[in-house]
Amino acid sequence: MPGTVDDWFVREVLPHEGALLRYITRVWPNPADIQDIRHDAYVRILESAARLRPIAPKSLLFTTARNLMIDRARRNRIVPIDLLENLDSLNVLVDEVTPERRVSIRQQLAMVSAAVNRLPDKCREVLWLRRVDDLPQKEIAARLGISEGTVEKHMARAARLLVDLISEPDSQDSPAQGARHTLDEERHGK
Amino acid sequence: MESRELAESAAAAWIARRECDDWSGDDQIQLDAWINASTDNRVAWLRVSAAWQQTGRLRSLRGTAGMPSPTWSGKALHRTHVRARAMAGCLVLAVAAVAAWYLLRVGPSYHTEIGALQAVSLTDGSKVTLDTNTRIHVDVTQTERRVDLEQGEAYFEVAKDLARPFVVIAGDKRIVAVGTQFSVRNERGELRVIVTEGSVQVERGAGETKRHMMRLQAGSIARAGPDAVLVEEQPVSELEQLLSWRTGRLSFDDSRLADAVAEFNRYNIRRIVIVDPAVAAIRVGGTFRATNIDAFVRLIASDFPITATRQGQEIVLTGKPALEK
Repeated sequence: MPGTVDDWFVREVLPHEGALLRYITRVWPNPADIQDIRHDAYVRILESAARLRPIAPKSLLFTTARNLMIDRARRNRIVPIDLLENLDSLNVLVDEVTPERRVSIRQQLAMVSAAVNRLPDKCREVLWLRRVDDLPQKEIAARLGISEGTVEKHMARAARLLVDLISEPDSQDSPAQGARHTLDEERHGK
Repeated sequence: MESRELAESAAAAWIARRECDDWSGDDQIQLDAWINASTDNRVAWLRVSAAWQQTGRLRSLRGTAGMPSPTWSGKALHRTHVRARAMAGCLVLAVAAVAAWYLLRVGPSYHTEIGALQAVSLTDGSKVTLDTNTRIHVDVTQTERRVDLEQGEAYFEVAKDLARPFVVIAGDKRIVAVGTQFSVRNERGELRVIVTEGSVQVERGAGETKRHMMRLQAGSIARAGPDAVLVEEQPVSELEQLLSWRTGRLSFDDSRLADAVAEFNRYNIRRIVIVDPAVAAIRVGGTFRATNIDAFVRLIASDFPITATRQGQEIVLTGKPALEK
């Protein structure tokens, strides 16, 4: 039953992505690895859930990410100093970074529209015309005066950028917000 | 890993193709086959398609916001103003605080502009080389030689003086040396220490809360986040490559283009921008003048299927169609 595992993954695992990224960012010093660690944790969870659905997906997700970081530190012949110490405080971190409250429909809408707002202009226009105004690709192409192939390209880029913008810890009200927003808005302003 | 980046780009391409008018049953079979080919693909697909699915919520804004660009950018601009005003307020406070702090200090300060390089001799005989966009403050007293690395990267050749430790302060970390050569980078919350000769000691905090963290030998490169430090051992010859900026050059060996570009952007006011993950993952090598951004872009565009487009102060690198497929 691959479909149901997929549904379970989307419902029970993906909503913790923001918290997971914040956790990894906090304990892992090299920012370039964060998305890889996140992805590897997802792969492991999905593979094990196909055999047996875990009871506590959230804590399994964080534990998996933690183990992956320990493996990675060993494999890279990196000497972890405070890393292990930090990873040991995992339980505290999970409670701290994962707000249990259910995100309301309104909040979800706000998150999505904030993410869409930060897309490049052309990507945002194409996404809007397709997903909100429900226009066929041909008509989008005609309206914007571009080829259908270009419409598809903008759409692919929108999909690729959007997924990271939605879960980006920065997009929520977190202390790390400042710099990136400023940059984006300077661009908007011009 | 590139497998993740490739899977995520491919998932996004599939999403776009599925939105096309001529999506067929055959296409669906191919998509299913791609998803089933690996868990990497499946994870990327579930994640990208779930995000895409969520954009359907925007339909509830239909009619209120109307067509995207004019209304939307209008809103964005308005918000910018409000936030700009708030930021201006904060800035006044910050400037006042910094000014007060500077007045209390005695020793000299040095700073370099973007793209500049400067060597400074200190009164104790030590030498400091400042990299691009770097600011230091020096205090040499009877008991201590102290350098505050406020921003950027600097390479230190420390004169031996057992009675006066040489301390570099970067954020909440202290790097303590007696007679040695090392480099410290303190930028956007990332701290990097490279030791090419002798050894240094890394400490966290100051005064009462001061805590010894580790000792770094020659051949070590340490990266520190807010709560953790990772140390890698590498031959000194390879570390020298990371320090080639001291001769005004940047040198890469099988580096991701995204990392190489990030380095170049530190030295230039004009910036190179990559949006496409396939372009970011390309591997590059070679030695370049740090301030000759045009030569770098020219080489990249001639050696790889990449187009460089100039937009004001930005040079945008995009993949040619051959690369995207």
